[in-house]
Amino acid sequence: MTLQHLKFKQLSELIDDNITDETKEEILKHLKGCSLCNKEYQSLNKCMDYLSELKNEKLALPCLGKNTIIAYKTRMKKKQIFKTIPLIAASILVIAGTVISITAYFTNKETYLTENSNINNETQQIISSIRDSNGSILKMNNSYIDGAVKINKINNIKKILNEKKLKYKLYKNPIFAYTNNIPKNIEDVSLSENENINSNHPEIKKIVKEKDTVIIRIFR
Amino acid sequence: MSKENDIEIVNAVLKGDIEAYSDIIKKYQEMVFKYVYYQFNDYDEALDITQDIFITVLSALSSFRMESKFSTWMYSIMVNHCKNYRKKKNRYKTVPLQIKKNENDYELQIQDERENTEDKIIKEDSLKIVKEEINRLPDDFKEILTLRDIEGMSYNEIAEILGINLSNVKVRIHRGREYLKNRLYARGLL
Repeated sequence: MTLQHLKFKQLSELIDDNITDETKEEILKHLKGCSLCNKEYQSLNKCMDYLSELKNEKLALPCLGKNTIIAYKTRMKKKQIFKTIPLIAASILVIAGTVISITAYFTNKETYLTENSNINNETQQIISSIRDSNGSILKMNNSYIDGAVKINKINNIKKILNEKKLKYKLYKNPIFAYTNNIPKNIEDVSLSENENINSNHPEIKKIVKEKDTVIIRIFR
Repeated sequence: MSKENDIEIVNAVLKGDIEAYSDIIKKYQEMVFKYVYYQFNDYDEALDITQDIFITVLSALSSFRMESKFSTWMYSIMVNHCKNYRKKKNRYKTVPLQIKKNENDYELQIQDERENTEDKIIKEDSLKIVKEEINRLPDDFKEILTLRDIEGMSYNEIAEILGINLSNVKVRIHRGREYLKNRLYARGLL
């Protein structure tokens, strides 16, 4: 210990009195005999004196208690306002989401209606084409529509149905069988009694009496 | 005021008596201010930061688990607050506005004859230099020397506040002192 110079750490520990009595004694003994270490120790001591001057320095300070509590309360109020912002934002989002989903629902509904209206349009077109040809509707189901059309309007309705690419069949009026007066442009598909058209139907009966009328079945 | 008293005040504040917190501020404001002052070497800035620290402590009071001393817990908030403030400050460093003085301008200096002894002036000048050098210390040294040699805290307390082990505290203190001593020597104070 006495041969080697002291390390700064040892001097610092001596200042703090953070060493054993034995070590302290050895260091002090070395300091007595070593002017270089002693000078270093004196410098550190002076440095520590300055620091203790600062430690004891009284800094003029106003009482912060009241102002700090007021500042805290103000900040808390502001914080609460800021806390409500996400809530408001969330509410707006929920409302916006609801509005969007409702709009989307109605848009879908519209699509559904449009799709359905396409189907209805087709039916409507068939009905219109029969009515345009001064005909009448006899029967309507999911597969076909039966109508009665004047012979002279046959070409007209055929044209309309071909344009719309709708399949159809023309049935001869049973009355033709008796009259042998079958128009040339009518396909004779030999409508029999037990075929779908019920000749006992009052409307059919009425049509059958009309010599210039054919029955048309338009398939959907 | 003992540890128990601190806890009593904390409990009162937590129960809603915020005004009771002013007792805590009154007790610790000088220590907190001193630490902050030696970190930033600016009185007004230190005052604002001190107030901010007390507000932060009050806001975080519900998280105080009462496992350590209230003062230790508060000082650790203080140290962290200063660290964060320093980071922010370094990010947005301001350039001081320099106003050139005319040759004809002079500073009005009123000298107090009663206190103006030569020794006092020398001492004040020396302390001014010491403060400047403390302010120039690396942050780690500045922090630990303020806690140890200006605030007078124990090694254990410092270890708890800074969240480092005891041997690290010792090493940092010795190195900090050595650094400061060399700086003061270079300035002709030692």
